[in-house]
Amino acid sequence: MKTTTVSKRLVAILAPFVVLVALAAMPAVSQAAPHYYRNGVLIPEGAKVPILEWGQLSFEPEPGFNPFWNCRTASGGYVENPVGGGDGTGAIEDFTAYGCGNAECPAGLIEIAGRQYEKVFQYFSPPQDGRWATALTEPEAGKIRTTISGVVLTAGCYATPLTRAEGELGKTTGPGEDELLPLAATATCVTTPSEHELTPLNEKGISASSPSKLTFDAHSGTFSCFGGRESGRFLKSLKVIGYTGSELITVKNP
Amino acid sequence: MSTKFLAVLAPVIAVAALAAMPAVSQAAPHYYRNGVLIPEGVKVPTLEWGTLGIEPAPQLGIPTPCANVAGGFVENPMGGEAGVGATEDLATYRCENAECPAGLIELAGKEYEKVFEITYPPQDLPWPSVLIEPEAGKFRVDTSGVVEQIGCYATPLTRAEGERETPSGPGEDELLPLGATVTCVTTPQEHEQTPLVEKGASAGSPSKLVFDTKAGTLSCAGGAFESVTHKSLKLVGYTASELITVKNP
Repeated sequence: MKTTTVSKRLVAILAPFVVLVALAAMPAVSQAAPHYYRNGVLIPEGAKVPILEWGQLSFEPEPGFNPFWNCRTASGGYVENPVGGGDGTGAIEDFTAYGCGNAECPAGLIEIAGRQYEKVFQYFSPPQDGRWATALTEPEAGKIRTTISGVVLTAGCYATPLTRAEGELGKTTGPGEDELLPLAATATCVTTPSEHELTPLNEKGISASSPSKLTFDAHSGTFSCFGGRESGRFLKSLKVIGYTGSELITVKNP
Repeated sequence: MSTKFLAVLAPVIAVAALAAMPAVSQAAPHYYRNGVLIPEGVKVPTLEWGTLGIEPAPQLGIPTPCANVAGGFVENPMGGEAGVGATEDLATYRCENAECPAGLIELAGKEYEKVFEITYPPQDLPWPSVLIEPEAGKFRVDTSGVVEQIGCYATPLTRAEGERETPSGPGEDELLPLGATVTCVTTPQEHEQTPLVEKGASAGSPSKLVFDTKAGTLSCAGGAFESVTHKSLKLVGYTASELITVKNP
């Protein structure tokens, strides 16, 4: 009888500690933060899962500069659930855009110094700015977005295969001079902390042939262009799959 | 009379019939989308990705693996000739090279990351390709016009900042190389890239372009040495992850 009383007291004293220890030991996944899943299974903390993203993105400028443009894009990177249970993170490690359409730079030939070149609208990310950090956020319950920061894009109408060195300086293209000749001023559009971030919405897919998507909707943020004088936004969506085995990549809280 | 008339017309009919035969029946490899022959003249956008290993030939060390993502298209040209296509742009990243291990390097009192990279001058894109069948039933994608620049760089330091200590201006978006860079190219006939097409089954198990021992070499450093590519790229339709396959005809 006495023993029982002591045990109950001991349990009563220890209970709060047990709860604290249990909370501390709970897997990170149970913390209220969005995380990445691969084929429906939570990606283990600290494991970087390579991903592939692709899709046709449109760029809609605020009125005033280059008209709407539309390009196919493809990029590679990774996603990760950080150790400690915070929001899922990742990076876009390299990005390519091509096959663009732009009304002010229609496909066709242009003659420069007696030779014909093709006009092409392009945008690219300079290699020194080529790695973009990503993080999951949940600004509305159940609406998980991927915040993309560090983005720098240079866009313009170019003559190909004429380089700037050949076209402007009349010399052979040397090391570090691999840029096509722009036919007009180029535009540089960037993300900036807090004010200009890209925050596409994660849409859950079901398989490799119907993968998850990052959709650039009305709440997906804007770029700052021309040093802040203009802005613009992406429209449409990117598909997302695992790079290694075309795995289904989804997000969920927790 | 009818018999004579037919006899006279028969060769003409035969010629006309041959001319009118769909291009697919000509003995040449063609592209298929989800098992259906792609109509002549229709460009089907494609996506290719995978980790490729590159190394000098003959082998000197461990191949350098890099992740790759490429966009382009495939097409069955009008007239029934072999399927063609192009790599319009590509990104290569996350390379692992023993002579350029990841890590920090200090330059002018600041730290930068070392990165081994392969880049592709925009003036040398796109790379055209054509289907070939050097052995019966073995289809290869013969890609020409390839130009690759290979080197160990400091990032995010540009050549302009590192060599001239000036901010990078227009046309100066190149990282600072930490040694000599190497340019590798395809050359007509002698150095071509001819990966083997392996048939896939679905979007989750797509077709592949396999860089096997017969997939050719690149000419590097002006012909000083050759490089070979290993492993494979996956290939799907860009728009809806369609299965892309090759068959003759």
